[in-house]
Amino acid sequence: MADRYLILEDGSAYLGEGFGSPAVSTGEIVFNTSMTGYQEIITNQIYHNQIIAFTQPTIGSYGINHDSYESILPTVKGVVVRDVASISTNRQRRWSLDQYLKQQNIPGISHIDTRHLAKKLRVSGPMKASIVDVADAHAFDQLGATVLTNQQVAAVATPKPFPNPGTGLNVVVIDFGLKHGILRELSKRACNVTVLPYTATTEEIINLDPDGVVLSTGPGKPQDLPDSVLEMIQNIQNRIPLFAIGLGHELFAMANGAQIMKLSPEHHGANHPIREVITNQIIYASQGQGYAVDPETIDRNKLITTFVDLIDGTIQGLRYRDFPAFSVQFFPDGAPGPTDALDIFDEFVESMQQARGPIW
Amino acid sequence: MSNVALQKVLIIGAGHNDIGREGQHDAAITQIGSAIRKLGIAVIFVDNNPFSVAAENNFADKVYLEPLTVSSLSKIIAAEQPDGLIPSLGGIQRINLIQGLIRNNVLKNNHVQLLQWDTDMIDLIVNPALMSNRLKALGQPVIASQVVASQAEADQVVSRVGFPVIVKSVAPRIEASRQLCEDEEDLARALEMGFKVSATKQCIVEQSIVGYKEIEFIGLRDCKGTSLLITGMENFDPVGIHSADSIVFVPTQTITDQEYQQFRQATLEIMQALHIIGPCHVQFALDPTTQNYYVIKVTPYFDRAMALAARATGYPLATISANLIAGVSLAEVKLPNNYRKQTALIEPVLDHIVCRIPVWPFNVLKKVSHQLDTVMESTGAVLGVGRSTEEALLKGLRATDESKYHVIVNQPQTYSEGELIQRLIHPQAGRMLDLLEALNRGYQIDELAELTKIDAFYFYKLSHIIEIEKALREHPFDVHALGRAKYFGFTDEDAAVAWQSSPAKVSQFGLENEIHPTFKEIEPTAGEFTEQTNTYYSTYEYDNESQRLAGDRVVVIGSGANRIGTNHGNDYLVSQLLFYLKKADYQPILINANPNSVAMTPQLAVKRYVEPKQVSDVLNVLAIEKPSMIFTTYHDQQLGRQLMNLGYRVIQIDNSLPQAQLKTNDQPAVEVISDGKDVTIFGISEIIAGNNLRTDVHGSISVFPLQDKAENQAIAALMPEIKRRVLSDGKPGVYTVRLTIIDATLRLASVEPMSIAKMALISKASGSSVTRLLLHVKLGESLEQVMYDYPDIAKIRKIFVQANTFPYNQLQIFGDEITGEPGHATGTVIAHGATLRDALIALKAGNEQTDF
Repeated sequence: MADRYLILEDGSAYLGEGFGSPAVSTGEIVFNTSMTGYQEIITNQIYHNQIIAFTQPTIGSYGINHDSYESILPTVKGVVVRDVASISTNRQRRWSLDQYLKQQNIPGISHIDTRHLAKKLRVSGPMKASIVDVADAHAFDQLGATVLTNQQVAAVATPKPFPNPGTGLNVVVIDFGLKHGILRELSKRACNVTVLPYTATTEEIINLDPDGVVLSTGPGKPQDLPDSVLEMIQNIQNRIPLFAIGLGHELFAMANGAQIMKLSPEHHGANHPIREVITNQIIYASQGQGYAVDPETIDRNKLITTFVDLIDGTIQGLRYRDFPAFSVQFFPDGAPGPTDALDIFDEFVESMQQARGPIW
Repeated sequence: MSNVALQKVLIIGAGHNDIGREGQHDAAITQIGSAIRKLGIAVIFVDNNPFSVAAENNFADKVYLEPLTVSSLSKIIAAEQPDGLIPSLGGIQRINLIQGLIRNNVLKNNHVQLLQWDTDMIDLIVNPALMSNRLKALGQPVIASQVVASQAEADQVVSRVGFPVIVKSVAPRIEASRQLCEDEEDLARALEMGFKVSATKQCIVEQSIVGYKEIEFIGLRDCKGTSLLITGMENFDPVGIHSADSIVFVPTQTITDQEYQQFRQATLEIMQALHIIGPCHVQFALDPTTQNYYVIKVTPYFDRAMALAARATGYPLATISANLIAGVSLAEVKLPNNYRKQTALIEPVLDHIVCRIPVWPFNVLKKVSHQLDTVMESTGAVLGVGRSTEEALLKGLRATDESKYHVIVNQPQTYSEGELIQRLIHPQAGRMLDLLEALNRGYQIDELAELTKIDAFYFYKLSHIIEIEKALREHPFDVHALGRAKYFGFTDEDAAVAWQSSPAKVSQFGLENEIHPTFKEIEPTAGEFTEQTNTYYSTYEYDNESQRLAGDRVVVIGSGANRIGTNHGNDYLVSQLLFYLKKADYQPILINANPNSVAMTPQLAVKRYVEPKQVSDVLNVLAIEKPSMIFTTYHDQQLGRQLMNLGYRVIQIDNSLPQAQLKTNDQPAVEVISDGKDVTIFGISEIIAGNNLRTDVHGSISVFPLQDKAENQAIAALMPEIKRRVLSDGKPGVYTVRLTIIDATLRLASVEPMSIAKMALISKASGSSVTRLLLHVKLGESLEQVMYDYPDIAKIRKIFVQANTFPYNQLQIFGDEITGEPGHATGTVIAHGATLRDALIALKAGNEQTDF
């Protein structure tokens, strides 16, 4: 395999070996500490335009499986690992990670001191990075000159509505860069789902007569989205049970007057203890966040904090006092990651059933 | 807050070392004992293992060296009136003992609370069928198994679960193994045999899961129900080989997130349902084709897998467990400030790979079957830590100190194709050679995976190792080839063999071309947070994290894998050296790769390197630390000499355990210490041949101190000669001077370094650590400076006795290999009494094999 370089905005260069696509690519580099689930992480749209460095040293050891996609088309800009595994492919494991990244035109680089990289990024926060063939002045100039888009949601969210039929409650999912785990959990609960673009209006949503609305996960900074999204949330939250996750949670908080701050260091993994305020129970869940709700800016008359990250005190969940509307910053659907928080989906189903009232 | 009712707790030790019982229990006890004492709770500790580090050095408030029996513990409990009993620290043997204490109402009558568990946990552990039913009730899949009394009943079971099945005899009168039955014929034969040897004329027929992947998860839970996963681990070998005899990788290497989360959830649910407080080890069998799984074992007491999990993750498992046992919750645990505040609550993540490789006693015991099956036969294990599977594996194989494992010196085997296939299907100890041989002979990876049921992933890794080695051989003194080989775990010695050169030349070449080792910390957050575990491993990457310590640095070479015979006491010696070096204001640094070693206890060394002991590995550490001295023990004499030749100051401790048995009865010996100028007597010991006591016994018994006046006088007369002989080689040290009776006169027979067992015996009898005394004379201090607190031996009112224990039951050894030679021993027991007779009775009561 060919020598390639991972170069960083701060001027550092790491020599490694290329795998996957031979393309040159630039994105924002973040590190993820999950022990398993590289396929789910690579295909999670929250990492749109980002380069993911895995701290788990061997990546690719169980190939790519048909039931572990979190989106149809991954849009990460690169995969950085210490070691990429060779495997036998068969009917169950159709592709190796190397083959898959080639197909998807995503470059990978192995033989990187990912521990050193993680220790650097935990201090600096994410920075621009490229995977290149030559680490010369030109490459660094190119990297410096690259302006990364802030229109990530528009790039990954569905432009058109699509259904995910079921026989139970009627749920509208607003797609900001939807993670399949959300659909999977709603499917398990027999929900009849319609996925709408994030540009959907209040009217379009209400017209579908949903029992509940889910604001999905997605990439980027919530402030970069149009105000119309916040207005839609304000109009919906007091009429229909609402459940917001990840980027959706940040938007839900903003719609209720809270401000969003940049988080440093970011959370990418599943090792943080998260306390459920009401029960004092501690759970673990997958996190992928570069932003957090500023606790100082929460209107306590409207919102209550339901979950807190015990490492840095960041807000991990909110609930509207007067309406069945609530949100979590982490990914309760796991995929990858612990299943401790799956019952939040049950809670959503219950709140929909209650709001629906008795069936005559 | 801690359980306020607790003021005094009782910890029962693991007893003598044995197969499956290395230092892991004592290592846990040293840490848990000291952490509990920090909470203001007194610790009473009972053990009869003379090599227990926890029994010395103030790890407990009060230590009883008593037999581990219901009657002796009942007395201790009655006298001490502890508030609680910690049941999880002595292994499975102690569970039976606690069951006895419960049945005899000893806990109830003395108001002793069983900590960590509901009372019925004891029954669940002792009776696997009860556990199986309980797990079933929790909705966990367990293996179908049924007791049958006839062929017809067995047929019914088979019609339900299908072949293959395992047949075991119920209450067998002889040591009977499990029979794997593939068809009717096998079944009929196994049943016939099984019924014949069963005391109840019954057999257990069990669905076979041989060939499944064996996965192990370790969880931790507090009294408030908060629980987290410490780590998952994966056996390289499939179900059918005892997991202690299997190579194990941490973290899991080949299972998907869905499978991983399924096991995590099952582990935490089981702990929750059984109300377990502290750590719990759950073993699973995973069908690689369907992703179905079975729970095969739940172990809520400290075991080898927990020791591995703690070493591999850097998570301070024992210290945190101590807090949980005392009623502190995970959120309230206060750790020493080298850890981040919330470390107890952070689910460990790894950015390195750890491989545990077993070590078998078959180079000593040659007549035993080397076939690996469901019965544990390994005596110890080592770790290899690296940043790739290849590196972890190569370092682990190197750390076993069995040079034949080296890929590089691996000669083609001569066996036939048929024999090779048999060896692949029916694995033997050291099977790695067979796997490499098959790859070298051109077997296809998928074919090998099918034959061996080892995941193809590992064969890709093994072929990569072969590829790297080939490239190295074909490119002498090529920077790229050397860099790559080192990056994946090869050493200067390997390259020297490949290039027909010397390690020194290769090392020079590597340094000139800037191929430098880097050391990285073993810590539980994969670099996300700052943690200081002071534990490192080497790799060849960009960033080095290990900085030279300040102060007077001393490197101590650890004892490596636990082996049969000569080194089971070595770990005790190393631990004591570390302890007293630190007390003497040195900065002791340990190099050791044994996961079960007590020496790895964080309180002992100030810094640890989990590394093999090949010269180049050791030199890499020395280059960082530049110590003023290096200590080696008996097994590393050669290494010590090599380091000395390179100009290092090496202090070689040559005390070991004797290889050969003394055949003479009642042989007295004078135990002495010398500073090179003078000699002082510790006391007089005697060896009684075991066959004085019973006809079928193994080994001999050491007695100390002997208070026979006549003998003492005779020895006093010999003192000048003893002094002369001990001082003749001028080396400071502790020695045993053997005496013999010729023509009714006591004569001096031989002078030899005192055995480690004798050192432990005298330490326990005198209350003064012989290792400390040895260390200080080795450091050049005079006897006057050293011996100030050694007691007047004539005033010791008790007699201490000690005997070896042997693994003959586990290994199914027959015939003339049962000799009772110390070289075959895996453990030692100690006892004491007012008279020799009392001491021998206690010794016998405390020996679980009752065949000393």
